[in-house]
Amino acid sequence: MAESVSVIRFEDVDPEFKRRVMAIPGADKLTYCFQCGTCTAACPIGRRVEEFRPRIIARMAILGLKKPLLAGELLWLCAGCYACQERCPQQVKPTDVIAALRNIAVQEGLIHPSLKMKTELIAKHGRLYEITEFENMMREEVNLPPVPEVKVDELRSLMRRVGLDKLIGIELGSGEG
Amino acid sequence: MKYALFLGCTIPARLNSYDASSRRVLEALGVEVVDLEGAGCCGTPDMESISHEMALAIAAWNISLAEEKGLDIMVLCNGCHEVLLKSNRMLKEDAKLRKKVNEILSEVGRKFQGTIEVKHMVKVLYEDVGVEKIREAVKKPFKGLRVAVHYGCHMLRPSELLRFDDPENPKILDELVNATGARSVEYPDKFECCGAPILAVNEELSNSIAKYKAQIARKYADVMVTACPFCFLQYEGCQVTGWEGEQIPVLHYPQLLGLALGLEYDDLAINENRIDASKVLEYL
Repeated sequence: MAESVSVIRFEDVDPEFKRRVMAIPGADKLTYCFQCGTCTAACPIGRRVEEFRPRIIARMAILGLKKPLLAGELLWLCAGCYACQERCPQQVKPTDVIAALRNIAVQEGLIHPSLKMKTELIAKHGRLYEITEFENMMREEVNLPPVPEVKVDELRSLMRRVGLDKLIGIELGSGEG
Repeated sequence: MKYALFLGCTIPARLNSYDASSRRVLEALGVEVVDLEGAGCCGTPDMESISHEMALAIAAWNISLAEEKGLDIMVLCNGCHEVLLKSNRMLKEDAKLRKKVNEILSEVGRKFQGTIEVKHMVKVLYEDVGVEKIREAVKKPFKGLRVAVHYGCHMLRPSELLRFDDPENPKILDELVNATGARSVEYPDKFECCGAPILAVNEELSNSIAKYKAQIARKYADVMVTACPFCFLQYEGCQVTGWEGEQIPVLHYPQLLGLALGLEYDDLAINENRIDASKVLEYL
């Protein structure tokens, strides 16, 4: 028989891992999963990407196959559309489980580069985009008032308070406003 | 009817057309909006991927700015809708979570009180104004225009917290379209995602999802209608490069409604849409 790559060895699993996932709000029913695959059937990404199977992700999380779960782009392909979550007969909340797994990936230093970039932009401008005089000029052309300014100092203080700078390695300033 | 208008990130930077058409239509129907000073990014579903706690804190901070004004929030973006409405409900219904988040907000001298509501513009039109009143306000009804509505995921889901409409069989946006005289059609995968959330992770995949739906929509309808900046950009964007055959125009819902109310094409900034939508005028 050809060597199988799908054999799971107990040395590779971490039975405590699921507890860490379930401690994050929304993911507390992870172990209710009975592998029916309704989530995968509902998934617009799974329909297009062979490796992306919410059912398998839930199974891997329960077993504690941490490494392959957190590696690469797998978790970041979820569109967060909640189609699976609406249909899961076990209230597993697969979308929230994947968000929880992403939180853990971030804690392990495995944040997706695009997400880090977006966060830096929000920390800098208070929005994903900088609003300059140009944008406000364009707005005037369609009779729109200028965009209100973001209290970005407050936003940054909140980010500092939850330790975002250390968590993902970005600059948030000194704390003096 | 007075709301604090929450613009978010994408609308003020990229879609004045959605902002302008929304304000024109709301004004015509007697809904007053004031810009929410100081507010920024809602927290985006992206922040939730980094830290559940931080995402809630950012949402709560934005909400607290509207609470201070004593105004309910109106959002135009489905992403803001998901984040702000979900957080608002979670924090109102979970005292422990509220306490935790308020500890973070104390850093900037703010507090989540739980005194206001968050509503999508579509819900404001449906509930506060009402389909009947809209129908009565229509001066130039469309005749024979077939519309493929795209609700967008985060208008409807997660339904447990958003409680917007029946998530498997919604009707609100269809009814609002029908009120203009146009006809909202059925089409396969009507309630599926536009692909926007993974644009920065895998552009090709994200684009292919939008393209798939736009191709279906083209088969069944004359125009697509959205009520979210991301969905709108996806459906226009996917038709700009590598698209074969005829394009299907995309309108923000208030642009469609505005035309039926008798407002001008350019006042609704439809001339700013990347795909020429002037053919809809033939149906008025």
